Amino acid sequence: MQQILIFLFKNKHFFLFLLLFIVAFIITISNRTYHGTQFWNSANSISGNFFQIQNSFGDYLHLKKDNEVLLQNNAALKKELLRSKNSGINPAQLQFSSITGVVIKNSYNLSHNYLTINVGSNQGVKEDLGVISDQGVVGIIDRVNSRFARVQSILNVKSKISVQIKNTNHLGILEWKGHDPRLAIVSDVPSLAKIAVNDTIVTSGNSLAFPKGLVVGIIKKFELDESQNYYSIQIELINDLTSINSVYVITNRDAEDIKKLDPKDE
Amino acid sequence: MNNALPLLALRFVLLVAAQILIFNNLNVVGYLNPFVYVIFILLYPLRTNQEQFLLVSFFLGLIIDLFSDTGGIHAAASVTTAFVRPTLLKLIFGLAYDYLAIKFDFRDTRRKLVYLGTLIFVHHYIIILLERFTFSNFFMSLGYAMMTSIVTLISCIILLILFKYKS
Repeated sequence: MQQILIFLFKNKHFFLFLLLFIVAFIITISNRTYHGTQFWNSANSISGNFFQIQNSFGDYLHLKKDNEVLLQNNAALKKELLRSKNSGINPAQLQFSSITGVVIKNSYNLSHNYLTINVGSNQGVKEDLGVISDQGVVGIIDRVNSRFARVQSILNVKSKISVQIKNTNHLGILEWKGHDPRLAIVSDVPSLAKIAVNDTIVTSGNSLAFPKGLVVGIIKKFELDESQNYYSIQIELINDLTSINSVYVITNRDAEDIKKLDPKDE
Repeated sequence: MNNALPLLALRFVLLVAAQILIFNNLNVVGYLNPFVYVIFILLYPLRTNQEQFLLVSFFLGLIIDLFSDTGGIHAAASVTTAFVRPTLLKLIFGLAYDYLAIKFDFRDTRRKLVYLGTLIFVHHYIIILLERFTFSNFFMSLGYAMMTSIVTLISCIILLILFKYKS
């Protein structure tokens, strides 16, 4: 016993180091897993408030550009509104609606990238909701507290989003392999699909997070994988995730009902 | 030691603030962010309680993690850097390293550069391994760690010259 104690005491620096390293490692893992810790991430109140303040300074620098984007958006939405008035759709009956938020922290140079936005459960944001910007898909909410939420960006090696080739019903999975924030991979497209360079990739509407038909990117090149049954497609993302300011969290009215039908599907 | 404490605390706060507010948003050549906060660990007083040093490094890393959404990666890398520092000091500066104050003047620059460079590389390589979480494409991670280390080293030297650090 004494021998063990002496051994421990002699190497106490090493054991303290080992302990701290293991603690850090556990925090890392739990930060990445789905039901992991709710505290140690940028959506908690300490860092959330911090980034909110930082953002309130930076906001003034790109007010002009933001204004232009909003004007363009407004014009496009007006057009859309006129069209829907003509077709007689009541907006209250729509399946999808949105919550507007502002990105207060963004990252795109890691392999696990996250954004923090300044809306939380008080505004009705929940986990697993989709997030888009005016240009296209941004990611999926993965942590929420009362005032902030963390978005798992599509530029995260963990992200997998169901997509399809526009004007066909061939499905694929959008993934990101790291490095370049402009390029992503679409895999699992069957080799029967007729595709060509410059075809558009859109969301499939199979997942509850995104409505069908949001533009994701454009095919740059493609090849058959080793099994010769599926294409592996490299696409250029339309959405410039290195510069986004305002985003829309999409709420799906029917999500709960659809989930109930398929309880295993997590 | 009592005089050193407020200075250390101030350096801690300033480096954390600089890292979060400036260097995390720098994106040199598109995707390289220097982790300059590591010089806090490199310049920590030499004659010190090793346990206390390990704990301080751990919390430094943890605070950086909190603000960069990286879980505990920076904490793990920082605590490792702190752990290997005494060994490396012995290797580079010899056994009498206690009596040497690491100042960034132009005397014995080569050894100091080796010291800074090696520890920065150790720190960055652990960050990148934990961040990618894979040993596949080993050389790519190595190259990436090298590039980030060089950017950090240059930023650190600039900071050291700007603030004319005295141990």
